[in-house]
Amino acid sequence: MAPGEVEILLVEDDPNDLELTLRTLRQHRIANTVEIARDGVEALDFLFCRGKHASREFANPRIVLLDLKLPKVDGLEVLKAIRNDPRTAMVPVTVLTSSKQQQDVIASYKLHVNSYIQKPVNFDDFQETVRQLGLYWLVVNEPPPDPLAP
Amino acid sequence: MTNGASLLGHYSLGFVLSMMAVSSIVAIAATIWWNAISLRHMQAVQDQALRIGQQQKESLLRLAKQLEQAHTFREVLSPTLAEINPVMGYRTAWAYLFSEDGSTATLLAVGGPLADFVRESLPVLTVRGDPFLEAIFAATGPVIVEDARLDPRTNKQIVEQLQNRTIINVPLMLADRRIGALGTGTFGDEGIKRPTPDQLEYFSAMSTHVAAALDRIKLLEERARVNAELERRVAARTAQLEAANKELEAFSYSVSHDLRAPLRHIDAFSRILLDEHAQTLDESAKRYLSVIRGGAQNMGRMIDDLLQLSRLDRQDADRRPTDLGTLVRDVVQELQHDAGERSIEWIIGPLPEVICDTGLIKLAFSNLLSNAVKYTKYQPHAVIQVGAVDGSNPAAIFVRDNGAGFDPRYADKLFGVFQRLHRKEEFEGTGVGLATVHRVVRKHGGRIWAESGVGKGATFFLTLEGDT
Repeated sequence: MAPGEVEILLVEDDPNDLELTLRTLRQHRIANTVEIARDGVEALDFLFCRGKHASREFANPRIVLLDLKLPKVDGLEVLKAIRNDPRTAMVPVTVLTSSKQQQDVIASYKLHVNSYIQKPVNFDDFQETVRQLGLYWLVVNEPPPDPLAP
Repeated sequence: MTNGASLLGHYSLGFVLSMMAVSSIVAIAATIWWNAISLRHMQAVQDQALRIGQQQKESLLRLAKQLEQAHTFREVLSPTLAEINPVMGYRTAWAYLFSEDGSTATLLAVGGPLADFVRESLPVLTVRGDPFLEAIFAATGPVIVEDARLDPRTNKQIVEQLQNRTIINVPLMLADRRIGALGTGTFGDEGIKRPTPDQLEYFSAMSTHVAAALDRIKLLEERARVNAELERRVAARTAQLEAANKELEAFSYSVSHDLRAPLRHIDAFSRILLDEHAQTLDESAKRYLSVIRGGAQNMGRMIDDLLQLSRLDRQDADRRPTDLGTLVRDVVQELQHDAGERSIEWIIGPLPEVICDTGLIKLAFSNLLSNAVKYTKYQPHAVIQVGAVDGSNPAAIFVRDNGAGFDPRYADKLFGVFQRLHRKEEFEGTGVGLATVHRVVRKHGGRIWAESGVGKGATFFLTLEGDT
């Protein structure tokens, strides 16, 4: 992996949900490199190498796990920004959220999200879901090419 | 008496001729001739009077016909002026409409400078304190001002502004009520033009027609105003309902999203506690944690069910022709797949085609049939039957199972939300399935009821219309 490249960008503002997701990723050895963003601004700063990530070398994560309800800039706006920039437009994004409301599902797919997962209440189910997500996007799925490659 | 010859025949010709000189004969002849001319003149005037009478009658008839078509105050005044002009020679007409108590008068006008004065909006004048308007309001007959400049009653400022000269007003009466006044007259260069008695008669007769027409239009306008008010209220109420609906949607959204997160945390951290501290936890501690987890998961399911129920309430039924036979068979196939190894006999009789919301009815049958599957789980051989009740009108469908049944004494609780007639440890479920079916059936204007006995299976009947 290139320097600055991470496997998973996890965008999650709730500290409990963060702990549960990280725990699962760690326990099931799903990913080695996980970058955490606590709100939309941090997520975009990381992706576009600005703000506190200005010195990072540009490289897209393999998968972005995106919560929808975020402070400052919310999930859908992050998704829109990712899709609007040619450097990041093809990055796989999975919405991982509490809600299954139709308006959220529709809005996400309209912005070309790759998949939409409602976090199960049952923790066992949640762990199984995260495990499958990791396996699918990091192992099974063929990632898009590096946009900056010659 | 139409010619001199017959006149002369009345006198004794021989006597006169023999007694008078030629000059006397000439003098008499002249007198007779002059009388004939003045008689002829009077005849002509009388003829003219008859003719004017005819012209006026035709004019009023014409006006009456036109007023039938009038829908606005202006449509009343314009044809009125069109008749006044040839008959009376005036070029302006107006009408005052008094308020109920006579305190104010609204002025409408057509033709001449007065029309320009009222062009933009109808001026409302205060009657009290204006001697001219007060006189008009009190009058029982025509009020004639020969020259506005000289008449003491007129407001000289207005006369200066409008250049009135002759002003004629007649009251507009409806039964005994004075609803206004009809007016005509001259302005500026037109000078003074006093109306003849005939013309006044005509003008008064005209006022009767005009009064009736104006009153009719006032009623039309009142009705239009009331209609507009009703529509406004309906629109306001609709807006209120839409706002309430939106609030409900926002509430549901909040519930679905925000309430779930803490539930997940309760479940997850209980689980983690169980895992990581299994050594230090004794059996009862582990049991408590399981209960905590169960509670959180249960609540999650109830939230999902409530949201579904609320979504159902808010949507309209999209009715289309639906073949119930195919629909029920689809549901059975899905349930059979989940039931797996169990031995279930499905008896599906002929089912009608109905007009209904396919999605909602499928949900209803899904609930009814999965209930049937659930409550027959202790039967070694479950039998579930779906059919149409013979000769029922409106068409009634039944779902019958040979399962645990329920106590009919509590039948009225059957369709309540979260109401259960069995213990959770016997049969799982949140108790929203039948509430859902009930809502769907009600939405279609139908009815649902059930018959059962403990241990004797249950039959649910439903109709999809016929109840308002």
